Amino acid sequence: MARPMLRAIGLTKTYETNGNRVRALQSVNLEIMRGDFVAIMGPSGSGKTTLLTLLGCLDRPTSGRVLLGARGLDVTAMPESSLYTIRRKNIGFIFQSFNLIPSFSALENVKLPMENLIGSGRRRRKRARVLLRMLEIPHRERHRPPQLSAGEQQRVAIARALANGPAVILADEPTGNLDWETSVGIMNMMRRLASEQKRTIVMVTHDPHMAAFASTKLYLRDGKLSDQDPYYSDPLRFAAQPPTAGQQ
Amino acid sequence: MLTLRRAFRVLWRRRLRTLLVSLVLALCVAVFASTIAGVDANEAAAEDIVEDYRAAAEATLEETELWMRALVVTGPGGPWSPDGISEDGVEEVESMDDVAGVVPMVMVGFDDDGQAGSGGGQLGRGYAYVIHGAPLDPELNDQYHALPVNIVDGRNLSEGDEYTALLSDELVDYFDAGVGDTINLDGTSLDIVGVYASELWQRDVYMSLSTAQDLLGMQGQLSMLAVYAETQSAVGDVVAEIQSEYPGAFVIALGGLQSQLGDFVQQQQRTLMAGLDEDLSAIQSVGLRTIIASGVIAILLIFVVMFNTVRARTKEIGTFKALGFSNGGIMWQFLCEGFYVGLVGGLIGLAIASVAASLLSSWLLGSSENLDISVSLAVGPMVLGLGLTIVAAGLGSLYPAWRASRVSPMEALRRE
Repeated sequence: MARPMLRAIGLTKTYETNGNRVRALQSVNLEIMRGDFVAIMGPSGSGKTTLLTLLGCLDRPTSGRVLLGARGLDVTAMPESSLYTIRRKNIGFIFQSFNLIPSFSALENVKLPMENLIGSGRRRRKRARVLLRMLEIPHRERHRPPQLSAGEQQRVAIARALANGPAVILADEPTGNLDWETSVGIMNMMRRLASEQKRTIVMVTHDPHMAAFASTKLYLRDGKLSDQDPYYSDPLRFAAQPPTAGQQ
Repeated sequence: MLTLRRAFRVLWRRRLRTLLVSLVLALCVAVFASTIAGVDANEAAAEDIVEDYRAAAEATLEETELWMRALVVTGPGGPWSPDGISEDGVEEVESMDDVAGVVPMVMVGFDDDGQAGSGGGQLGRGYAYVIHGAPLDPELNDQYHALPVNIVDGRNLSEGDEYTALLSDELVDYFDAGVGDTINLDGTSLDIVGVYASELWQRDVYMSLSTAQDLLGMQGQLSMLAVYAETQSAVGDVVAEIQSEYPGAFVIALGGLQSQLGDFVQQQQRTLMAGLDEDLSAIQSVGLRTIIASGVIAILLIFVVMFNTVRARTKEIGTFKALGFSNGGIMWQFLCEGFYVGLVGGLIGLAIASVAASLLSSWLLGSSENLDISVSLAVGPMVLGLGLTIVAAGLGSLYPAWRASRVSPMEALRRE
């Protein structure tokens, strides 16, 4: 029986701000198999980004564990000095605002994560070009982010996320700054990555249209994860609800 | 290596801003290096002056000691007169008690018409030139300086020289002759072998004793004897003995005059040293403050620039961390960027200093009337200037780079 590529067990995250305690995540349990394209939906302040940062080893949970890979590597128990290597080799990030390095060209941005993993500059360059070609923007390799459209920037960001062939890709509102047509193109691309290359993709979004591209949808509300959320089926009911303690 | 290249790339893409920061840093480095060069040049000039004066003073004091034991014996016509004293007296005076040495001389002054003088004027003033015959015995000259010591052209007279002469630099134009030329005095040709720097308006034409005697028709006769007593306290006894032996001769002890000169030289030396010390202390004090200020400004400049850079690029730092860059790697990147800014600023600063060190140092340090300095950027100030660059880059970047490494990726990525 196949083992999950990504597991969260009893994941809890509590923030203390000015003496107030805010529970962003409450005992989240999650199992994602290899090749799954999972969309985690929820309103603003539901803890989506927090969950993503915990899954991506960018932050530590208050309690609970994150197990990465088929061998179930417990990343929450690892020291900080080891986590950056875990991220570099195994996890690719895609951000809503792309987060490309503005002073680097598209090619240089894609090559960036390969440093210290691929020794030869020529090989790094070649692999980066392959990825840009795959994302259908080979002609823009010398351009810097301010010279690229939003859609092109996000494609570069996806190429960068794939630079080291990670098993897991974490995407935080990847279409948040894109128009409809571009968003659909990006979503189709991500679906192909999951189905054809067997990448495990976890995407957080508040847009149900984009979530529809995923094979699995999960719902996060007030720090709790569920595979059902009645609020999304009734937008008016959702709009009538006052903000809860979990929303920020 | 990759980090160095990455840091360079980041700065290259922001080259205008990097250049502006580097230019300001360059001014600090230029001021720093020029100040060091200026202080060095002032110290070297002061040392040179002190050394020159010390050497001259030592020579003068040496002479003073000698002249304190000296007395002059001349014929009734005084020195520079053709009415001389017999050469036979030399041995007799040499054999007297308390006499250390005797230097026989022929000295006759001539006016513009070629007429020999009689007596006349201190130290030959008033005469167009003085024929000065002196012994060419090297031992005598070493001890009693019968010949000039400060030869400025050609050579000094030496044992065996006949019908050759040394001219005073005052007489070069008068005779329109220099080393290698021949002058004619009273029908006698003399080859000029050297020119000496005159002291106290000397217009003596030095030649061997025998040449002078032949030229002047004073064979067997001398104008004067310079007699040196064994000790200063014996001078009086020697004077008395000579006067009793040669009642017609003039005997003059030179001790009193030379004593005053010696005191004057020492006083001048003390005054000069005090003046130089004061000037140099002021320059060194200003120099030290300037050096410290330029160093501190350079460090602060890089600190402020790098600190603001880290703040402005917080999100970028968060991205680097998300991509798997370690805290150490990020810290090293910002240290490299600081180093590059420092290096560019340092090189430009040294280039400015190499051209403008003299102007900058005189503007910063002022100038001393006593010191004639020439400022140039030597290896020392250049190395120190480059050292300042590296220290400023390192110290100025250290805290900002550490801050960058401590950025929380999650908080950084949330920033807009």
